[in-house]
Amino acid sequence: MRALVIDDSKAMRIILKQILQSVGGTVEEAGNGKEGLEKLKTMEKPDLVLVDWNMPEMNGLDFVRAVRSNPTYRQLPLMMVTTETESSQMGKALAAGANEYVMKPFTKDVIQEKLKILGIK
Amino acid sequence: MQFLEKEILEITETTWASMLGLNIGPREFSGGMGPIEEYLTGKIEITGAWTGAVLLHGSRELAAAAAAIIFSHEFGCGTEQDSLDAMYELTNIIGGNIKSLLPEPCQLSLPSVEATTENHLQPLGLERMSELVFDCQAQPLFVSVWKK
Repeated sequence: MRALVIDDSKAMRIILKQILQSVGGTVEEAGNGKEGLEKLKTMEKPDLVLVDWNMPEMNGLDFVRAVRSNPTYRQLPLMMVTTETESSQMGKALAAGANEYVMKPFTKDVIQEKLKILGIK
Repeated sequence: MQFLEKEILEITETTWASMLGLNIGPREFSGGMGPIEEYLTGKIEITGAWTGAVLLHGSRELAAAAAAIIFSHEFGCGTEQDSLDAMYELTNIIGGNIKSLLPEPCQLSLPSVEATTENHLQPLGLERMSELVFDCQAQPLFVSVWKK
């Protein structure tokens, strides 16, 4: 599994990277939505993108909208990993095209469960 | 009982356990912060239906211990930047979860982390609603909520 992790927090990128690597994944990183879009253009198409909500330059919600507006990425699995824990925010993310929503703090088991739901090995 | 005391306690304990695999609990005897040079402060602002801020004052040792776990290095081998990065995410998670308990709609700022100064102990124009003191491996963490 090839994943792109987008978060302005270096600590969170490392935490997610370690979890994904522990299940055999390879991980590319970006520090905000804009960088994430650039990364998508240059990396081999990922099997999964994990994206934070609150980031500088371009937030996660705008990233999801931008990705879904591109036919190439209509089917790309997108997982929001965020501290935006209100149900109204979750609704916005899912309506914009996110496939899964993980609230911080999380455990490794939660991420693994979400991977299973998305059918990602 | 302080403002959101039970919730702040639960959020902080869950954050430490989930993200670091460490137990953190209320400190029985605070004894104050001691020299502020020994602390890093994480701050995140909330605006909207409720305006204020959440501050984390963590000892540098506590921040270094968190960084050692996150970045998988030996305690004492990390950099100051690793400690700042660890506090950044912990502030983000705790602040974000506290925001979810406040009236909607509210927006969360990006966190900021720096060496603690006197200004962090009494942020200008804000009133302290609650402050909880925690202990993790004998190192202190102060979590406070401030309202405009």
